[in-house]
Amino acid sequence: MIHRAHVVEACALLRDDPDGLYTLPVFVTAVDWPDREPAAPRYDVVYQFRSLHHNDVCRLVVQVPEDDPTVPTLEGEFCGMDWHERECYDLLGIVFEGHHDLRRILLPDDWEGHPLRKDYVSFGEPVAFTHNIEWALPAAERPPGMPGSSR
Amino acid sequence: MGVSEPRPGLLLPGLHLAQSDSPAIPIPRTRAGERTAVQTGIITTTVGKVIAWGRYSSIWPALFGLACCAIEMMAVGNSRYDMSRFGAEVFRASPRQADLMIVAGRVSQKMAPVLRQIYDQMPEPKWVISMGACASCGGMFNNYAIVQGVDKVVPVDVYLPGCPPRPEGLLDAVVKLQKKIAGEPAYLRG
Amino acid sequence: MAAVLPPSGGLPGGEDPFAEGRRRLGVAADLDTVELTEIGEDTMELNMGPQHPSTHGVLRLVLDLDGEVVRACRPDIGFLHTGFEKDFERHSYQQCIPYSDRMDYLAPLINNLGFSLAAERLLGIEVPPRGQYLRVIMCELARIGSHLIWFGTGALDLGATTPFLYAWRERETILDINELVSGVRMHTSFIRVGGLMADVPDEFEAMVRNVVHTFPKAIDEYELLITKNPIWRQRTVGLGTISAEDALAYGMSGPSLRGSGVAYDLRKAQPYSSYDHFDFDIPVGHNGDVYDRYLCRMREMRESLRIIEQALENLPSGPVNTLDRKVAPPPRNEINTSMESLIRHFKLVTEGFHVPRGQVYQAVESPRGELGFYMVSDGSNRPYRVKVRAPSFSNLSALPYMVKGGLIADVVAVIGSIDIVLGDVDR
Repeated sequence: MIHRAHVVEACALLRDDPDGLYTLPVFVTAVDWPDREPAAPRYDVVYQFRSLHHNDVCRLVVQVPEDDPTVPTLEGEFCGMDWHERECYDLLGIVFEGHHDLRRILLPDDWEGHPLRKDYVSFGEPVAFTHNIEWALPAAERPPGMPGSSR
Repeated sequence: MGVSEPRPGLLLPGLHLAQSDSPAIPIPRTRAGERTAVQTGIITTTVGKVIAWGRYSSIWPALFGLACCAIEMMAVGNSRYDMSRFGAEVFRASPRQADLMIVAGRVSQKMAPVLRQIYDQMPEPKWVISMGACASCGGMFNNYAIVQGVDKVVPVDVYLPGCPPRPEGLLDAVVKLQKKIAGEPAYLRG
Repeated sequence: MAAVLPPSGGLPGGEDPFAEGRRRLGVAADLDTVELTEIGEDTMELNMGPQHPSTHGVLRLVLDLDGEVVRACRPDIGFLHTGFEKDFERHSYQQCIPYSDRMDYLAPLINNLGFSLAAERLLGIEVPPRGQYLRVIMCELARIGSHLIWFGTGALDLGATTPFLYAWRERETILDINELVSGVRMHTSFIRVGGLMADVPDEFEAMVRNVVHTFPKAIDEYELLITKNPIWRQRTVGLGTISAEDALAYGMSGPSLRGSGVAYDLRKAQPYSSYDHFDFDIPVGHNGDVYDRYLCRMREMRESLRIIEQALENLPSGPVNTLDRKVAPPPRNEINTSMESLIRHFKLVTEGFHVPRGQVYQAVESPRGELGFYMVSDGSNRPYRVKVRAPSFSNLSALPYMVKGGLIADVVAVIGSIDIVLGDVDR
């Protein structure tokens, strides 16, 4: 776990040090912990690298707060991180400062919100069961004769 | 020349054989007193039925694979299932040349406008088979990313359940669609 | 460059046959005196996809063309974004297995395996040897099936229709085995957390032996058709070249990386599910072009057959599921006789098992490369967060580099050679 100010140099060190040689970028993602006890920054930005030379993986965790979810980009060090950072921005809203093209990659450009945050409600459409029919399908929209409509 | 039984494959649907009793044209009679179209050389039918016959006998699907179901859709084209037995094997890469869209797979929110545009580019008459649970109702993906049923975007003629449906299922859907087309008045579409 | 058009009016009589057309279109009559603008600097933007037969799904490419030459390529992905990672968070661990099937839908079993291994590492359980060997057999069959689809469609993209029909003929025998063991052709969900769905039936061994015996001849047949075919070689040799350093920097993996000469295979490097018991080689290429990636995959199918043969020869007996009753349901006869087993079974089906807190990254070698599951558990019965490291995603990010400067007709060859699955890219 490192501070975000040192991400770039730490990764460059991991890549270039002969004991590391973590040259293969595996992924970058984030984990959202909205109510973490004890209080800690909301997002864990997780970097994963692989070293073919030593046949090893290494994981870095950077904690960023909710009101300022930014980390510096690693695009200059690993060109393969480009799309992974865009995906992380798209789905979790982590801003990678200095990225040349930080746009949404998976969702449409006009999408609102970041779906993988824990407070993002994901339901596409309510499914009407008998126990939740009042909530899922109001009586006005319910076809007559539908099971459960008599209640 | 012996008189053979009428062969159903040579008859157009619902056609009525000409009953010519003129002695000038000696027409061999079949068992029931009717004559086959080949023997008489004359058929009577309605324009609508001939058009429908032409439509359902050579459906050209658009090559439009989205996800897992597209793999089974490709399997239908291979030798074991052989969709060409039903005259529907000519997959067209351009929607302008297709009259059947098989929505094979889940439709994401980002794909939905594209899907609609491809549907609009297809010339009338056109039909849609919604292949698989995801295309029919969203399937197991009841979440933010997937359109809950492709019928919110395009009108669907045949829903085909399964995740993914077996190739036999798709063949059945095509046959059902052919029956539907055969029963449609021609003027309804294009 | 200035282009001089031929003089208008090709007829000897001097009458301009196109005059009427020009008048209606509002074009000047003296077109031959008009100088075309310089077009050398300008590029044409061409949209390819998302509905395109050679993009293997719903990939969209925006190509900047200078004539036939690709100056830049901007992939636009996400047309199959399904929200798997959000769905994982809403379902218990066993319920996630069918979701993992549908990510990389050409090799669903390997997705099952990756997810199961990650959860098993968090749980700290081990699958018995028979379960591990059966997992290996099923995964290698899935790998061959995936490579067959790649072979058929990749050859179809370059105009060879016959391999498509041949490859699908062979793939059906693999799907028959899937159907035998699980009842489903494609999305089997056969590999579960803690073991397998069930033990395999008696016919399994004969059917797999049939595959092992017939497939080498079938692959010989494919190679006879394609490998030395001059048309195929002209369309593939020296195209889409990427060096080993660049491939690593882009995070490429799998046959796409091995085609560049890096002998890295997770089955060898970090063996899982007893892959270290088997003797097999890692085929590598030299030039990193489309042809070498093709050769790698063809040889990989033969190596997979070797693995299957060894696993079948040495298939241990015993249970296929872990004996940990917290994860695997008790056998049927115990449910009938023991109240505790019945309760345990009910709890496992309705609630699922709870996984200790922790995080783990488990990577498996999918037909496309390193398929990784980064799983975070908060101690409940559902994963707190699952990040899928998709091999196609990283491999596709190198596509602009590989097609730059090439011809537009070769773009489809390069797309075919990195063997992307859009369900894997977009997730």
